[in-house]
Amino acid sequence: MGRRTEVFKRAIGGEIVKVLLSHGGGGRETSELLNRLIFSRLPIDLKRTEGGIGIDRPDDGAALKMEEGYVIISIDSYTVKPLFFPGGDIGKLAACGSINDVLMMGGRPIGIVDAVVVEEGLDMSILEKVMSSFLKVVNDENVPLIGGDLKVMPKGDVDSIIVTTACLGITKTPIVDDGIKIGDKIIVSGTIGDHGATIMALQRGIDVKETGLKSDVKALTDLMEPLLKEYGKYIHAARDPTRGGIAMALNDWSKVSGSVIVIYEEKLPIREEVKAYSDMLGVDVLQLANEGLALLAVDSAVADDVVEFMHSLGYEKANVIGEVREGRLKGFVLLKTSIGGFRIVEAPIGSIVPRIC
Amino acid sequence: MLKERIEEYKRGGEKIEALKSLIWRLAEELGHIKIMNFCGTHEWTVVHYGIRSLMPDNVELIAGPGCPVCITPSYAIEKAIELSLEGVKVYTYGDAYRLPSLKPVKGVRSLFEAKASGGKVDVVYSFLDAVKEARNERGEKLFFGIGFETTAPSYALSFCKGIVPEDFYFLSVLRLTPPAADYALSKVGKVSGIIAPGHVSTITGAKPWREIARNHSMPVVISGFEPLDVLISIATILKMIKEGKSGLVIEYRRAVREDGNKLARTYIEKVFEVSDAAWRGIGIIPSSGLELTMKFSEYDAYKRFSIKKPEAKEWVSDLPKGCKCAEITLGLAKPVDCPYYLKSCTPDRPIGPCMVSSEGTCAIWARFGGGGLAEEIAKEVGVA
Amino acid sequence: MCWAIPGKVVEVKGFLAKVDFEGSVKEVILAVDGVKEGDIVMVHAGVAITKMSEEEWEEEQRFLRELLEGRS
Repeated sequence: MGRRTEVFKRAIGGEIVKVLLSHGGGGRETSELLNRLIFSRLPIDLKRTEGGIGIDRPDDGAALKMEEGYVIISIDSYTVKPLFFPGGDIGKLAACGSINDVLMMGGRPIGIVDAVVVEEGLDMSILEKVMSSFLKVVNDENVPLIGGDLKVMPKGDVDSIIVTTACLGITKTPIVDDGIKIGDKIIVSGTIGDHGATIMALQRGIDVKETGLKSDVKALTDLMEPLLKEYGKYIHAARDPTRGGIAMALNDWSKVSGSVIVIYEEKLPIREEVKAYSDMLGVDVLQLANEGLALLAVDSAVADDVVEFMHSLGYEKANVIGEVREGRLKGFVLLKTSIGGFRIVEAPIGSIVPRIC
Repeated sequence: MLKERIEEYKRGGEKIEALKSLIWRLAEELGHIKIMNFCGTHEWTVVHYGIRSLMPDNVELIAGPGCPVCITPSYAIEKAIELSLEGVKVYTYGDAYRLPSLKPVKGVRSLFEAKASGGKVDVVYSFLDAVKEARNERGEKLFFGIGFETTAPSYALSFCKGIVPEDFYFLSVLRLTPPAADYALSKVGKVSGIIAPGHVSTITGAKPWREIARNHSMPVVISGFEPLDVLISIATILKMIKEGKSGLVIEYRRAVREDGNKLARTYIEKVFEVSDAAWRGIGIIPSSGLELTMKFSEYDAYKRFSIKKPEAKEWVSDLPKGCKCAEITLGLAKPVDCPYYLKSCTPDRPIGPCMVSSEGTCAIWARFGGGGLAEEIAKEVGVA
Repeated sequence: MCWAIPGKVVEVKGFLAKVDFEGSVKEVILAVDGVKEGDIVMVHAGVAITKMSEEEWEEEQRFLRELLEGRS
């Protein structure tokens, strides 16, 4: 409904004198801040790139048109507390994150650069461990490390370690969010919310047993490369739904395409332990971050084949979770609940905090 | 195992379908029915699972005063903000983190903003977590003690067992549910039946709700929080109305005992005494609050920081002008009746407290498409 | 007003207990009498407020069956 979106726009515009944590949460506040600080202050020619994709079309990364095909580039800074968690650490996260962004643009990663900022006094063994995991991903995924930087800041000026990575890729046909079409099926490659749930649990002092929560952080090369080769032209949009979870990504898509995306609660793959944990703190799994999940909008004619193909690649939980529909009311994500009712899935607001009531 | 079987209560299936048709069958022969819930978590279940969209036209579900965050008086929020900016470490539940005060304190209107302005604020999941963290925190600490009967035992046991560190002060904004339920019913006019709060009842037992059922001659059902629980409770209320019955039924038997939780009540009585208390935007409701007894006064934030509670005769509304949170809380109005709802008051920039808490009626409606929006979209795109 | 979920008690230590929520273990305050390992408790804001009862669950099921069958 136009009224609703308009209201949100107006509401976000109020004066704020301090940077809040939620400004970096990846939700609506982040978009609004970026718009105010950057997007609205550059002329259109300095936001786009001829024949390619700049910040005029927000996506996982940018695409530059070359004589033949495109160069894809994506950059991200990684901070996480704790630095080590079941399933990975900040080094693995930083390498996989940027590689996945390139993959989700339809690109084949061809090189990665990193910039590491370390706090004075950090145990050398910690830095070594982080860099080893970073390099292991570079090795396993066979993406050359082609540049980098390392800085040390005085104690207290930065919190332990921040890793920034940028990944370069190439493709003939980039996948862009606005390629999404009415009728497309929405597919996820695996279970939802694993990373976000694990990190939040650790931060809340919950004892995560071996059988319990585990981050899904991984590079999606073994999924996306065969998938792009086999079904590339049928994949109309692809996202790596990190911060803000699939709730944020689907809201972006519904707005970009002026559609209503309908998802079905009973079709969402969610691990029991993630469900139990998010129930405990009363947080929405759809808003939790994922670090090894692909969210796709696929031509309905091949959607079932795509899911089957994903299963054959070892992504056993891949599933069609919904579809893109058309209506007078636009830009909403609607969820059909397990008991047959309906609710709207909102784009996340603020930081995710546990609730007692 | 019991736990797995409870999972069934969250899912669709035969029982859900059977209950839906039972509700429609029962409602056919009845006039307009207004069922009030007294618990924000019930309202959450209703909207989260889209239960209103499953109801016949003549069955109206309305939300009552069941949100401890929404009714927390502004003076307490303002004091907590002020103390956090003065270097006292303030612990709060996530629910109250963004709760806006009426008056800004040094330009700050919530604990969330206070933190960004250098205030010492930490969000915790439990009082026990706060106690553990406070042990390693130098200087004075404060707990922003919201909650109803359900939350009170965690404080009571911690104080009695002596695990609360020195200079950790407790700002009690604890409130009691039955007095508020009585008050709301005296204002709201005709209600056909009540869905009573399941988790509050694990502590209080059935007695206070039985009295309400008797005093107001209506069906009252103590309900669990899964969608199936709520549908069972609605069907039970309709059936009782049809049979001309009033009185109390416990639907949530797996968790609620007739006499409640005596152990928890004993501890609560040791640590707290009942007092008249302010409900935000509503006023002073007699015997509806809990404050620390003399024996535990060394932990009492009201004493340590000389915080004055408003008296009944000097009480003035602590809601922003025009905000209908109090009426909505009492079930007298719906969010869509408020001139600010989704205009200047949104989850991003809340004006009133009902837009903040995850169980504030306005926030729930705005976030999940209450007031018919979700159903409208579903019909539009052909999935309803 | 009060969010609570069931968990399984894995260890009791005086008035505190460790409770397992599908693999996430959390220390909570026990405000319930006679809780032992293996019991299912409802936990709200880090405090166990009630013990779930198998027998009462059966009662609840009987109540539901009777409601659906139209008996009273």
